[in-house]
Amino acid sequence: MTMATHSDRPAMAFRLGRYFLMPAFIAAVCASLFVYLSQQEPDRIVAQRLNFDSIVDSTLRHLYLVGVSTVLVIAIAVPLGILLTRPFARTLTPPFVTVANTGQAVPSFGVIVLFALTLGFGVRYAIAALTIYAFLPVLRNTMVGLQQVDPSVIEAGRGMGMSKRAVLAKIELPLAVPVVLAGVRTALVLNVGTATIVTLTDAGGLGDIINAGLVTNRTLLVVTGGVLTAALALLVDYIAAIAENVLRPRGL
Amino acid sequence: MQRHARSTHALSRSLALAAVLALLMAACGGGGPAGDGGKEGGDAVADTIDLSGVNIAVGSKEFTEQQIVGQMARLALEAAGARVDGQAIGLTGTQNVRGALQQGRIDMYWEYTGTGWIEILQQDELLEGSDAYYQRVKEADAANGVVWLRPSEVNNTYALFVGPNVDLGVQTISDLAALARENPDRATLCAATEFIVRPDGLGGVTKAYNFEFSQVNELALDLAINAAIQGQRCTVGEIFQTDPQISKKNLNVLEDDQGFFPVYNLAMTIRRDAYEQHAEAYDTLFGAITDLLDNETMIELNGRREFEGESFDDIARDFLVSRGIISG
Repeated sequence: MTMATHSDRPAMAFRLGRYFLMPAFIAAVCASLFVYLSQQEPDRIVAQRLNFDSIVDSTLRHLYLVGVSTVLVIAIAVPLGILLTRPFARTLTPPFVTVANTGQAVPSFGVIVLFALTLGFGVRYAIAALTIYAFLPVLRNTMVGLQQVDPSVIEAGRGMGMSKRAVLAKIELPLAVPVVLAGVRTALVLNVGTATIVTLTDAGGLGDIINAGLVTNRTLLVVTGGVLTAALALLVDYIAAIAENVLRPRGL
Repeated sequence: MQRHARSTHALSRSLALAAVLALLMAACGGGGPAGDGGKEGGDAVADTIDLSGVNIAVGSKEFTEQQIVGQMARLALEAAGARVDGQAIGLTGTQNVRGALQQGRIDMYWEYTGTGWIEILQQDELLEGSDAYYQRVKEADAANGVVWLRPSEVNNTYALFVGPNVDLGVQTISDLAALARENPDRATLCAATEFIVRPDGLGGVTKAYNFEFSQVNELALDLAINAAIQGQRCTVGEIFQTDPQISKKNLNVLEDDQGFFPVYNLAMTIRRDAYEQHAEAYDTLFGAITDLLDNETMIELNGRREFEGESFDDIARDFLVSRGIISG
């Protein structure tokens, strides 16, 4: 058990300070953006999408789309990944992985529009499309994370009398967590970007701002929407990184 | 044995050479001026104009109507003897085509007066009538070194429509407005972002006719039209006046009885430097084509592409030949 000594304090402060670097950067970028915006004279077209209510609406909708689809991906892909790494599932693995591969290989634009045309427009099916699109990283990382657990550790656990389920819960999963979380983090950031497209299928989001700028040739809208999306992606990535650190088992 | 091998080798080499030559000829055979300048049957308009030796680059936007008229311009100029570069026919987006024009990468393309006013010149003041849009655009764009020729009657402006599966009992936008005030649930809209944010779109029409849609669904244009035709998500859709789906799918286009929507007349725009060298020739040639175009004609030509799948080149050529602009 080491105790924090006097000479440790600057190192700790530095570590803590690093935690604030990214949020400070994001805040600085957003602040400069808003300062710049407040100095512009928006015409009627720009004002439609660049007002407080509209931006907040779009951002919240965007977070909703990303949040729900990520929760769904985790809820489906992680258990599936666990299942597919069990010995009995060896033969089942290829088709599932192929589907996951296809889900991401098909351009996000295509998946989203296809879902809209076959299933219907709106938020619900947009979330379904985003879920399919982000499926692969989480599934694959879950599988890889579990597969890379040292077999001798598992053997040790079994040798100690732990049941298969206990080995899974107490040894395999905790050791796989860092890799799984890395996959979740990837999926999250992917979804922040992909969710800009669902503006085309009546699902809203920050894409509303970007698309409005593209079709009316108002660069201000495109830049604002783009910067906000990027800032959101950085923020989401940052929070996921903190979660990764918090959930990482001690001793690794 | 060796002689046999050598002759087979020689045979396959000549075959390969022939294949390469065939490919080269196919590749090179595509472009080039049409015809050998034969002036037989010189009734066609293009035959009365001489642009031989002139190099021209024509562009267009990517949607059907633009590519058809873009090919018309190319064919007509070629028939007059010019050497036309049509690579920029089909560029995506007004900005790209217009940018190419202003940078001199193309010499001309067909634009719409309303687009010129609202999108290119970035004006958000709404004008009244064809003449107003044409005159103001022509005047203001002169400062950018762009000449607008006399516009056609094609008015590719916004329209609201009710799909075949929905019965609202309305014929004009005023009717729709009255219905919306009485029975808001029946007035829901599927439209594209462009229509929703532009002052000459949703905001303007609802203000001019004094009504609101109880729900506005924002989708990509094709999806919005699709949804409005299905009639489940919304009762009213947004469409452009020359969309061939109007006649094919029997859409009930509501009459803009108060004349709110801006005018988008199709007109040829040319870089001033290029224009001034052969002004009369261009005026005559494009004037003749312009006189033949109106919404009904455009709907029919657009339909040939979208429903019959004919190539832009064929559609344009057939039209120009049948109307005596170029000889067959």
